[in-house]
Amino acid sequence: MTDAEILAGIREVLAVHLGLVTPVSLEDDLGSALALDSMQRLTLVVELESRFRMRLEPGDESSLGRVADLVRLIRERARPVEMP
Amino acid sequence: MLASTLPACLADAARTAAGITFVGRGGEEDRRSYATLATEAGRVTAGLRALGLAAGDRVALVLPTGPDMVAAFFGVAAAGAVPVPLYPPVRLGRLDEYQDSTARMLQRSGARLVVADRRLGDLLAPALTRARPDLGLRSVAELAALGRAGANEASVDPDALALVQFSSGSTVEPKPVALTHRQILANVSAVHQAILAAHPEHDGLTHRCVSWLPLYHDMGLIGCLLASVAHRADLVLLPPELFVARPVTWLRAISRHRGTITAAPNFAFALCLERVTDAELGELDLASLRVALCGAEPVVPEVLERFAERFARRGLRPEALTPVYGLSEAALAVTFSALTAPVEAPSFDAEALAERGRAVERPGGRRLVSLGRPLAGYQLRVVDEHARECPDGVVGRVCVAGPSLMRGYLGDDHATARALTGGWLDTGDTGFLRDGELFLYGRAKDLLVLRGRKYAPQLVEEAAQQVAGVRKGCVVAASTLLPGRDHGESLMVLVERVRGGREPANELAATVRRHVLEETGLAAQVVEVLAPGSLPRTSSGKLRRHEALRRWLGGTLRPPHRFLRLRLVVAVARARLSAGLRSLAAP
Repeated sequence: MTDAEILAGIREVLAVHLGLVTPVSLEDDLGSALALDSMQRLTLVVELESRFRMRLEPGDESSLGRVADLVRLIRERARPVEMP
Repeated sequence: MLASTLPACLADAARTAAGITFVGRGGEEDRRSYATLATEAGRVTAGLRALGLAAGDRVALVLPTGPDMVAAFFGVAAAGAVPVPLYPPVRLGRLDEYQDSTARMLQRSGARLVVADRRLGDLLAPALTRARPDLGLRSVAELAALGRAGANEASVDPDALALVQFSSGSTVEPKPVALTHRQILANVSAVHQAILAAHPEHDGLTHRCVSWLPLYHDMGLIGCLLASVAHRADLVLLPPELFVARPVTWLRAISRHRGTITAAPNFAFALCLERVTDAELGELDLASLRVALCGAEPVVPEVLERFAERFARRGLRPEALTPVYGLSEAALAVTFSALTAPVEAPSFDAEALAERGRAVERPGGRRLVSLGRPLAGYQLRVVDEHARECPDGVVGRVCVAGPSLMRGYLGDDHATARALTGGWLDTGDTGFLRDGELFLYGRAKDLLVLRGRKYAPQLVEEAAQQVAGVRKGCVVAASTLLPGRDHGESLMVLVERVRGGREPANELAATVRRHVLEETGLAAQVVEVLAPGSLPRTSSGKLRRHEALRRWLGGTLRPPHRFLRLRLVVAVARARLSAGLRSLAAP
């Protein structure tokens, strides 16, 4: 999965599950650009996990500052879908 | 008849076939019988002994909903030690605030050990460095590996401490509520008695609780987990984040497991109304549900009524929805509204309530939900500022007496003495009685109650003050019910601008809102920018949050006289000038 695909997935989750259509870019700060409250952040975590079939642990998130860091974390965590 | 301590309750439950179904974040289920959980708890107890933990020592638990949390809780209790459940880290949020509050709670509880997942180690490290629990951090697996099998269970005194739970405003001024086994079980038993009186078990009805409430929260821990264990009843636990992301999962679990009892704050019912789609509605069957307790934050009557109406099609009984009142200082529950009747919410004259503290019924006024009567063994009274009992319909401070009042705030005799007097607990909530039923109206204590969780206003005020253009020390945060806001109380931030500040009010308000959100994860519904000097203060210069909120709601929050007079003079001059111009322009 490329970073562009992951970013598109994040945008999709934000739009579908949180009703946010603000264009996020890799350089955006996760906290200020998305302006999510704590419940929306929880929702984002759960929906990203489901979208990318991976687990985000609170411990991993301590290093997240920008959207790019989230993309990197998802890239490391996401399992490639096994094709039969 | 219940056993007399929490570990003895688990031992009794372990002799039955009952157990807990843990639903995972992906919806997968893992059922563990109480017998299995008791074995896992026993390993934790043995590990704690090997570490040298003594009876009465506190052990902080930072664990998500799951078998490890249950094993750790009962393992600690069986060692005669005292579990202290703490909030897990915020997700995708700022960690410094979390680390600060965790360090404070570790210090206040005097925890010797933190039980947490290893993966949280780095994240918790700053809090551990500050609080220095001498036994450090261990995971449940590590504890289990440390112990020798077959360690004897300690005999635990029913009047020994069983739990320290953090109450109001835990982020800035954490108050550790200390409860004994006897106190917790008295509350659990009173709740059970009330439910059984209304819905007795018989061949076709065995009570089973379904909950997504976090286990570091009194309603989830005592009301769902400990109550189910004590009554050897099956329990279904969902992770809170699964509910928040997909509210339908809660209702689905009730349908699938034929849940009869559940509990949640008001916002959860509002979230279901908003986010459960009509397509999802079709698969639900809520006919099994006898009791859906609604508490932990003010109840919005319209939310429960709309919930009852929408889900009636899926078999929901209107009388299942039950507003309740309680607080962690009384273990959990104090009053229950009628379990066999729909929600009752009479309408009162809003002005009489706000201005005179009198409850006068008037159609079309402010609707308040009846929180019902005290549970068996509990008493309620409402008092004025001289501690005299208020007559029916007069607003005063709500005080509670009963068998589960906390022993006190751990290590804080001063705060304990303020809260507990002569067997009565001053709840800090205000309200009135009407024919023995409790109605809440406001709070005497400064506290934000948002989505069932309590925060100190200072948390938000400190964040707002950091914004350039806001006058330092001149910020008030409060939460209150606003018309049309179903999710419960709205967060309001009132800020004074700096003298001579020229930034447009809406821009400054937007900056404050964004900064508060970033720093605290809390979204303010109202940010009001005020002229310098507008916020009311005491003679010693302290902000009066209540008065500020009251004036804001009444539309009378203005700067003091000298500001006002000046503004008035300008306004009059302007009016004259424009009148003069108009008369000049007139033919």
